[in-house]
Amino acid sequence: MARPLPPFSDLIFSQPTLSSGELKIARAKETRSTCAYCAAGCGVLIYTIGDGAKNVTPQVIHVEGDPDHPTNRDTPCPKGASLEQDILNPRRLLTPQVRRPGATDWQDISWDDALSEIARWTKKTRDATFIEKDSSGHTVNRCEGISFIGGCTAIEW
Amino acid sequence: MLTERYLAWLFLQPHAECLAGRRRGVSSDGKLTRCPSCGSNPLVGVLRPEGDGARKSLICMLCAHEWAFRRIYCPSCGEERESHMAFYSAPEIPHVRVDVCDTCHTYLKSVDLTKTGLAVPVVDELAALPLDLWARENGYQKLQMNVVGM
Repeated sequence: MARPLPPFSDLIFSQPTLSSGELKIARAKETRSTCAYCAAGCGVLIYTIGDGAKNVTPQVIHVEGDPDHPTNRDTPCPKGASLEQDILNPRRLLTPQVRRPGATDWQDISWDDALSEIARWTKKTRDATFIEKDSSGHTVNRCEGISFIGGCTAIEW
Repeated sequence: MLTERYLAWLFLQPHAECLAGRRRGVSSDGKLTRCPSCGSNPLVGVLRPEGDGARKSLICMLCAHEWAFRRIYCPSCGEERESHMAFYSAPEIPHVRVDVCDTCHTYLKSVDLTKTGLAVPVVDELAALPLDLWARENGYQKLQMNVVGM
């Protein structure tokens, strides 16, 4: 279907231009969402492609910070910046993994087994290292045998 | 006044007064749909790299002022629902996209400077004519036509 081009366009475009029929146009959508990690709740924009047909899951193609979100104003922390990899990277973990004492590699373990084993170890360590009262007799209820690494920078005000 | 200036003033004054009546001043919520400087329509959107994403701004068709604008917001009708907003792009012109609103069927092109920092928004808007042709063929009308009438 040939349409007349607007005036002067042949003067402005010295090289032959693509006609609209040669473009591989794809439709994409931006959706606002919240980072899945810590309680800061930074905003993200998720780009998906798909024609919006029913029963077709849109495919994520990109995740970036949301510039209009008051918490992060477009700059997520490294965890948020990797959200796209959590969705798309073919090497992402799909099951929990465990590395046994003395072993050199990780083995897959089911969610049920992982949770049961973590609960057992937590209870056992807590029972073995629980300190109810300190040397002055105050009740402290400390569990000094368990430490915690990972998490975001301080966001609790 | 010199004749030329007088004539220019005669022709420009009503138009300038009309534009000034459309001004809504500045706004910090990113929903300003007309130029805060002169009240004209935006010509093209720009996505400037910020953080790991991009901040959107609009460029005025008359005075070329650039002002910050919200993502996922229609500059024509104020539609904000993500289900009604989309953008179209072609790998042949990777740094220009067509931002559409399916409620009012209006579109505006945006130049994505995160794809190439060398693009000049107003020039690349002009050069991406095939996208305008595609949009028109697919039922979208442009918010503001550019200098060659597209």
